[in-house]
Amino acid sequence: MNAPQHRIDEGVRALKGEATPTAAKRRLLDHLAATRSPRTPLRVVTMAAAFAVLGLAVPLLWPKPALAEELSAMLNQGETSANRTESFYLPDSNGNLRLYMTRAVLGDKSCYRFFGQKVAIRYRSGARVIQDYGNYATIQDETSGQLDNFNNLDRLLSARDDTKTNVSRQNLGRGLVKYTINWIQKSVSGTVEITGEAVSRRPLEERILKGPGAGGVYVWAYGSTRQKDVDYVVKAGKPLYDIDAQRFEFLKLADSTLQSTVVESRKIGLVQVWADEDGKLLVALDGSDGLPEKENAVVSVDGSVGKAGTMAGSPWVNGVWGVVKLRGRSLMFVEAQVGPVGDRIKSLSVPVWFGSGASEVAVFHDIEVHRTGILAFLLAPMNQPFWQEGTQSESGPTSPSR
Amino acid sequence: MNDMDLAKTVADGDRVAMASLVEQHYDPVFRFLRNLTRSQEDAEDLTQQVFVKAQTRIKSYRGGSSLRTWLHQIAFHEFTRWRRRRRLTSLVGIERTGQEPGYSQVDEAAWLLDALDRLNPALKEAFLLHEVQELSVEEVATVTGSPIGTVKSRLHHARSMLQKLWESTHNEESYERTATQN
Repeated sequence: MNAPQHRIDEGVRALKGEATPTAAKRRLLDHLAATRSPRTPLRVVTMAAAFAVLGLAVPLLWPKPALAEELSAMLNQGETSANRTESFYLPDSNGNLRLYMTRAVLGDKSCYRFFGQKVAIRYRSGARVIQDYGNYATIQDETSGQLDNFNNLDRLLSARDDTKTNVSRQNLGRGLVKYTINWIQKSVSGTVEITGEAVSRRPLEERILKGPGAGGVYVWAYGSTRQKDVDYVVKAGKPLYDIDAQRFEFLKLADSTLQSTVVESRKIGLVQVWADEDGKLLVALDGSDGLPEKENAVVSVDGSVGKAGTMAGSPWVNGVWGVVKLRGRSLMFVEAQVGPVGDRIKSLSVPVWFGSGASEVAVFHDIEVHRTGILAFLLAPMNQPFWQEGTQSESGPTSPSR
Repeated sequence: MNDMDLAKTVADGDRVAMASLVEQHYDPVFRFLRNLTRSQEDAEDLTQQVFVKAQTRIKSYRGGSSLRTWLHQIAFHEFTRWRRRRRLTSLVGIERTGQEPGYSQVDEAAWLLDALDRLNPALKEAFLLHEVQELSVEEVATVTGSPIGTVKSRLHHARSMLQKLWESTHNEESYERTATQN
């Protein structure tokens, strides 16, 4: 081979071997775990909410009620003094198992790690959930956050009640028993094996033999979790956002207007501005009746231009909401990546649209900024605005505690 | 499980299937977009959009091509949108800083990407899809929406121009070495 061709081929080989970002992939998986198809039935939404943090193995336990009680007993055994570590492995593109998630359980406390990165979650009297994202944390009611559903198999079963399942049981000797679960749902089928202790009913291993996640392995290890594995203290100075209280505040703010300006003889009201820890800014406006789908839609904060969402579609990802009906008003939401902002913005420029005409710019000054962890988590859990589908009552949380 | 079964399972909202799809295809899609955009950050954003779009559109997947090709098609579409936006933002004077230097730690990779940037974008895209992403000529045609003959021609021209670029660089280096020695 001649030298130039060799050099080109060497370059191609090098490009194929470039590293890829594990953290970005983890964030994507987290996003997808909390995102759903708009047509997904509500019961699946409920299930997905529960599993957003639990990882992906649990939905694979799909026995029909015939063996549900037995398997429930297995999962619940010794729960009052629970001490276990669960690990979930998924095969990568080369077929090698990679640790996707671990969950350390001690009593009613749990700590999750995704791809080895710690996400701490603590349950207090089953009422509120704290989730730590490293540089900030959130707290919210369990009913509107992630549920510890692992021991509520009946809920899983009701979510999979249209699954045709065949279960066989096999004594392995030495006190072990194995369940082989063949299931079929529409045109998709799979086989899962669960091995556990016959008398204590504790599960030890789940193997996904066929179907979605084939090759995945979920492993239970008992007695290895230490107190320090589940201890969690919010460090002084770390922001702790009360999601329920913030949703309540968001709805309350939607009733009023901070300030107004006139653009092309139209009155534009600034309703509220929120910034998140990812550097995104959400601006709610009154009076604009277009959709921010223009390619060059930009939001400017104190002279610095941010990258705005440019596509209609999922507000979870693109931050493009268009006109939203909220508290009887038609508000236009615009979201943009602007980077860190202070508690007040001196000057804010936002694109507005009138009919199908070209965009104009509305400018506001000296604006209070509200803060949250991730705008999408605050506003669109399960990719659905929290004020829709009864995910949150407009009357606010049961116990505002911010 | 074949691509069609996996797609159906993802369409049914199965989280494991979606994770499996990501595990199988994230790395190549990300590499493709990073090589096209030459920006780690933008490639991460675009890759996320690709998979989110894939999740929402998976019901429309009919198995006419492999999931790999289908995902590359979405990725290519996202990239063209990104490029268009960059042109527009450039026009209004808010273009971000250029390529992120040094994300590629290997000299050969960096040289090749620099050289590809000097080619017509269509040549670069075809080359990356075929040579680096290992898509067949037919698959490249599907992803880029170009006739097979055009793809073949672009691949030939890309190689040929890369070769010329290498030769000119090599000659300059030889000349500089000689000049230094003298």
